[in-house]
Amino acid sequence: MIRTATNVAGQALVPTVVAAREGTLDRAAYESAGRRDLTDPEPAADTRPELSPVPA
Amino acid sequence: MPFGLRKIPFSVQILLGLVLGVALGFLARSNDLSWLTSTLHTIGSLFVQLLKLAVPPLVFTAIVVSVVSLRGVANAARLALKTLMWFGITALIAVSIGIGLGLLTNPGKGVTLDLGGAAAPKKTGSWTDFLTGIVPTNPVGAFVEGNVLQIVFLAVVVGAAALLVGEAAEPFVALNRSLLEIVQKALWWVIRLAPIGTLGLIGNAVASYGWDLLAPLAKFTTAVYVGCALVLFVVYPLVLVLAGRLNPLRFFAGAWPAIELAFVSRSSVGTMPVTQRSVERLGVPREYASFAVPFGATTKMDGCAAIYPALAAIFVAQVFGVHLGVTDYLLIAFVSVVGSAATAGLTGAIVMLTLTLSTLGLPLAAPACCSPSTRFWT
Repeated sequence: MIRTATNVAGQALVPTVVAAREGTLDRAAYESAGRRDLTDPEPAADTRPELSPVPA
Repeated sequence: MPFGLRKIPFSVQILLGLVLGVALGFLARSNDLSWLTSTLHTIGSLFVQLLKLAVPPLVFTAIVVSVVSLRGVANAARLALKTLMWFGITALIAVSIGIGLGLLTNPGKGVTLDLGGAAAPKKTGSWTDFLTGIVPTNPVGAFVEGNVLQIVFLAVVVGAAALLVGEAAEPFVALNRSLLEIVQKALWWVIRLAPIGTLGLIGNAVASYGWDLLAPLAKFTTAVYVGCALVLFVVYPLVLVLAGRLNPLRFFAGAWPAIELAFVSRSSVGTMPVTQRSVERLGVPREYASFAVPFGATTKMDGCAAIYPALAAIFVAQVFGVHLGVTDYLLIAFVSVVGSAATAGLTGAIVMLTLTLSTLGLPLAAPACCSPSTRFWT
């Protein structure tokens, strides 16, 4: 229970910290992550339009 | 889904599931309602089964698509190394906290255990597991067993080959893209069920596992909770602030669904799809998250591979009256930092525990004496 919770928090933490240090973390998305619904089919479409796919 | 339920925020739905689950669990326990216990059990395990079902196709397609779109291989290798380095740094801090707590609290002092019925564990960890475990004996087998690390290996190789093949591999890449979209869609349905799944998981826990057996090991159990809480709410926020210049509260707000699901499901791999969604929602690029999260789910375990084995080793040594010196503590730290990668794929606290105990030369039959309810509730 608490062990798995700690494991998973670390599994989420390391990619976030590495991305932040690499400068690839979308900080606007980070700041608003808790306010956006996890089940929203397009989670970050409105916050980072520059990353949305461009039709070929 | 009824219209009204859509208006309740997802996190509140999960919380409702948690509260209702605990209530139903108590009801089943106090009134001996076996039908309710088995219903809760079925709901919980069905939910975890559904999540695990999504893991192999999600890991494979997401990595193939990422490798093809990454293009810069040197950059990917550097990212992988950095990820490993931070896995190591956080594991080292966590295991130090585990050792420190063990020395402060003496969890095994005065505990006498009847070892008559203690059988040696079936699964034990060894140092070469990583090398032999990462390469699958056949490609279908990796998917049949749901071995995440082997699927990661296959996907990286296939993705790199597809990248070099170029034009001829384009239909394959397109197929993977399409499959990934389909898996993600199906996964959203499953994640929507998280409040009900949470209800079943926590309800079954409360109904089936008592606290009475915890009594002789209360000190040990408390130490595990204190250690994990220190890592979660002191070490991680400090890492976020100092290493990433990030607001820790925002991290917990974003990662909470994964942490909460991990707590009730007790399965890193089962939680992995939700962890991956949460990490992407936190703004980590999908190309990187699709590697780092499955890799982490099999190799990064600060609770099971750092806090728990450190405390358990000290506990076992005290129960058996074995004196541990500085070298032993350094060994515990070494096993925890390097060993969780070495036993990757054979996830589980028992594997890490036996690896730690065998490295220290402590009796292997001991894990069986850490009662099932102690293992369950931590």
